[in-house]
Amino acid sequence: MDVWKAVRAISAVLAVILAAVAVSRGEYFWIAVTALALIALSYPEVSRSGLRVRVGILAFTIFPSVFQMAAMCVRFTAEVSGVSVYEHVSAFAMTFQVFMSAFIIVATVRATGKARLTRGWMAVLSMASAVSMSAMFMFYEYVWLYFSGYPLTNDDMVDPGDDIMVNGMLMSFPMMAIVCGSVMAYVAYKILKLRPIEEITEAVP
Amino acid sequence: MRRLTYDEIACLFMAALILVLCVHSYVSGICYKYELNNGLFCAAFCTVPVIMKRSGALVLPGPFVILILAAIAFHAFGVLYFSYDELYYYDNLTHTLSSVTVSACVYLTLVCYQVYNRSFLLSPAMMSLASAMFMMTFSVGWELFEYVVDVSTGTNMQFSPTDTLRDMLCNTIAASAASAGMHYYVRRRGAEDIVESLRIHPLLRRFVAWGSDGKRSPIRLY
Repeated sequence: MDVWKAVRAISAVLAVILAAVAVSRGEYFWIAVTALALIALSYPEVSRSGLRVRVGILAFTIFPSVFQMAAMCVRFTAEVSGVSVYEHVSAFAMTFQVFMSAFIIVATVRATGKARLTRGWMAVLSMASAVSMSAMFMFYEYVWLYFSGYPLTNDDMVDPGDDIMVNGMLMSFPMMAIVCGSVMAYVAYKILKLRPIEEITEAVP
Repeated sequence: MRRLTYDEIACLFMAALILVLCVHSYVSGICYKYELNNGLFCAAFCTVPVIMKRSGALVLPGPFVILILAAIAFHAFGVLYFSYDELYYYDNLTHTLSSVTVSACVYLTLVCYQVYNRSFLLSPAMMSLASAMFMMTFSVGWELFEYVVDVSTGTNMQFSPTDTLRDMLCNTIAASAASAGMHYYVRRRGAEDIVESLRIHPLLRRFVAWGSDGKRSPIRLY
């Protein structure tokens, strides 16, 4: 069996399982992250470009799902600014998944000639995608906070530190997207510099 | 010395008007030193398009200048006369105006980069998407900055999640609208024509083209 297709199948199955587990725990935003991952994984067929990213890059899409499922098995008790460490860990996994999904799409588009981009721009656009997704997360999280009964308006804030705690929950994904997204973009750029840019993608056999 | 053009007159008039409002607001006891400094900064910022034009750095299109002046004027008025506190939706108005302005600037910057740097080329649709994504990044970055300042210094820059989400909603709508509007504007007038009209200083052009051979891209962009 084609190694590329095997890696893609593993990544897709893990992403779907993760989404199912996340929904059962009430973490519905993973549906959006997983949908983007599945689009990226099926992009060679969707775009009919005849090109796909190399298996080494594709393999990175497995890690976020594994990382998140491992985090779900751990009972986190620590908090940072009133927000559970689990929220930050989950936000990191989301950032990684969206970054990789965006990178696959951007790299394939570049290889088809529909855009001309350097390695740096590919990394920056992937990071911008992760941050944009985190902005969408803020809207979702607000609705979740509303239905969970958290204080949301200035009049609702009773105890000092209420606003820091609730804003912290709202900003968990954006914070990870910007901080860790920047690191991911830099690391991706450095890794990509090791090989010619044409070797990021290959023709579909 | 060249005669003043209409956009330069508008800039200087707005700067003078804001200065007058600063004096009036402070002397009347309406605002304090922080608001006065904010107003003075706004007045100074109104002259930036004129300085850029006269120094030969960059010539901003007329509609851009109007947009910039409107954003600054509304913000200055809100700060000097506490409209942010007294009018419920004033913050939303200024956020939307500022986001449209910054979005347009981001789009224009990307177009200039595309014209002068051969290593960067996006289709029109991708250009709009990229511009909107960069604007979202700025919006999120600003909210994160406010949160970090609140956590580290105990200030209250960010207020409640409802305020944060309203700001984000205004920014998102404004960025999307501005990207679409700029796409139409650039498509109608032509990217090369717009970039030519900016009369960018050769040093700036060289900076933008860094990493490329500096020559214009031969491929038709729009």
